[in-house]
Amino acid sequence: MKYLVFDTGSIISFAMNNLLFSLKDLKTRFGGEFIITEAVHQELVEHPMQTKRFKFEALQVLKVIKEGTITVYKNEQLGPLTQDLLSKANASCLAHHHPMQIVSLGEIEALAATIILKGEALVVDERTTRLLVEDPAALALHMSKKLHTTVKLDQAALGSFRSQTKDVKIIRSTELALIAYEKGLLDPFLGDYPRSTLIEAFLWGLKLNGCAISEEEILRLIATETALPTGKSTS
Amino acid sequence: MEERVKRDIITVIDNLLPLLRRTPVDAERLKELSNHTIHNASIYQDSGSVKIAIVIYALYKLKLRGKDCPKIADHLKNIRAMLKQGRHEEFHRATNTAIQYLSNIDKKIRLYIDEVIKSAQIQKGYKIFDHGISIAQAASLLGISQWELRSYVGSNIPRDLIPDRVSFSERLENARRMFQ
Repeated sequence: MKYLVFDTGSIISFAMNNLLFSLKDLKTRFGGEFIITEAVHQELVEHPMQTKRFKFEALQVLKVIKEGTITVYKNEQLGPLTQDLLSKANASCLAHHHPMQIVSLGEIEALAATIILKGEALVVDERTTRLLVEDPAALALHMSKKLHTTVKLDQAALGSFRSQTKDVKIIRSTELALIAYEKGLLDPFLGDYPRSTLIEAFLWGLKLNGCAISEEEILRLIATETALPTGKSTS
Repeated sequence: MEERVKRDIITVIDNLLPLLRRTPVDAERLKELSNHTIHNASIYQDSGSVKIAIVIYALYKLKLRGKDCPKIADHLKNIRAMLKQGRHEEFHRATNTAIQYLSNIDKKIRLYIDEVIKSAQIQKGYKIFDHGISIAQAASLLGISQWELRSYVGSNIPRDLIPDRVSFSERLENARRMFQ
């Protein structure tokens, strides 16, 4: 069985851009399971259900879960691995010799689930988690600039964290939305506008709702994708 | 509470009190002081720094709109005294009382003040995120949801994007392979 694990932010990106509907079809094409963990479920559904502003978005996510498109994963190995990774992640960056808590439970639980399930990828929009897995030196440099103080990496904690996460591939909601576009799932929204308008619309929507995609990437994508004959482009 | 953080909050309040005696109040300086406390909130993630940042930021917004907060100086002096005496529980209570005072300034504008406080939480959450802390952790620290913070983060394009080691093309190719 194949698995694609989602963190909170990537589902929020889809919800805020009215793209949740595409997950059912994407899951069928993926030929496996779409997974969230209990901590992610709490952040996605339970927390906003106690507020007014994003309650309806939470209900929309709940519908997708109840339909079986997304499964909430529970496993007794998850807790210990999550705590282990969380303590290492939050010991890896030091400012004034003080370890900084840079990530929280939900993000790391999603990462742990990806490891246990040997997931195809973790879908995460959030910059800090991605950098911790892929390029912690860049994260430390960024934090040093912003905090006006040297942020050092604890190589022991970081090394151990990276040895456990080295096989994890990360994609963003951007890539997933592009797959939905390439499979023609967004074609009903074309109307009389050119394909470039559709791509521009959903990419900017994702960006303005918090996905870390640059303007340069958006422009490049528009140029690449609209050069191809149809929306069902390169797959 | 870290000694460094404690000293820093006392210094911020010491800088703030003379500002409040001036007419008109230098609102931009208020904003600077609020931003300063966020550095400590990002590093040490203590609730004290976060709350002080919210109090000062809310004060900044109220002053921008010409609202009077006659008793805020007394609240700040009390906060300072509790901190200096090492009475940390009373310090947190005093900070909560200051936030409550700002919320209760005018019953007619209670909703507006609540929005100011919420806006302050979101703004400060964004600042913490901008320093490199994850969105989830920043949201948790400020007591707000990721939904609220993400919608604000998206509309504030960061001044310096960190280049990805994994290129966009590589990520897209990985995604395409998964959906073949």
